[in-house]
Amino acid sequence: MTPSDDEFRRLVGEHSSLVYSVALRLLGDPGLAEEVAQDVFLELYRSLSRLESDDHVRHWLRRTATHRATDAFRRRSVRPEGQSEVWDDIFDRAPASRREVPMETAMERMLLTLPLQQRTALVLRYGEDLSPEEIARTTGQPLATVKSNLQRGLQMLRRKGAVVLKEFVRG
Amino acid sequence: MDDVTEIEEGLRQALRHVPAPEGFADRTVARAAASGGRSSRRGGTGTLLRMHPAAAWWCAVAAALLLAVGGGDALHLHNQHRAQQEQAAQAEVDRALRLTNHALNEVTVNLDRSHAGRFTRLWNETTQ
Repeated sequence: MTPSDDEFRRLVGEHSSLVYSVALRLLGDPGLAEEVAQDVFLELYRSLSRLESDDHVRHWLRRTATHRATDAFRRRSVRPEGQSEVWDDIFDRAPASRREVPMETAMERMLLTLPLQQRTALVLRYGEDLSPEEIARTTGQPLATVKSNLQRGLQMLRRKGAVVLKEFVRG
Repeated sequence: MDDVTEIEEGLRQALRHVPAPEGFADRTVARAAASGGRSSRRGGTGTLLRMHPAAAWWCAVAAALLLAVGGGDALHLHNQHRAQQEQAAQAEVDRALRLTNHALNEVTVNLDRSHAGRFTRLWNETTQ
């Protein structure tokens, strides 16, 4: 049984930023992120009768958004720029302009250069405030894999993040 | 604040939720209403799976019968069409052969006339 229009609109209004943000952080493409977010809500429309509470809905949305964004990423076959030697080259270019880039934007750009699995772990940990155990349940990965992805992702960000932070602090 | 903590803080700020694009809710609700909740992606749950098993069985049998009848008709039409094509091809070959024969006959006649003329001249030359 499908929900009423009002109920569905309420759910979309309440959770659209969560779903859209997860898709956007994983894909880096606003148009594709919106498409994925709509697909997620269409699935919610069909599945709502099986969900028992608001918390369950939130968990379901987070998990479905992560999986659908991952599917979209693989279909698009986008390869990250984040292999270390290539990344060094990109960030060594135009040092003057880097100072004008706000730290948050620089961080978002760095995130998009990470491999998808590490990016997913970081987005769910620091964007959705999930524990490693919750991330494992959301992604269906073993806990050890999640912890490894978090650690490696932070290491890669630290390698170049220090430069960006210093530029930001120097103003 | 050490490096890792700074990075983590930077991540928390960078990964704050952003609002969905303007009009997202309207577009999504409209799409759900238009599709009846069906996904545009392939592999969605089909109508057949939600039917009563007996009704689904009868639908499957009816579909198989339709395919068999339709398939038989299609085969007959295909064979008919093929036979027509073969007849048309044969007619073209026959026509080509007739034309070739006619042309050959013309050449033979001309050659005969030409040979006959030469023979007459030779005969006249040798007997005179």
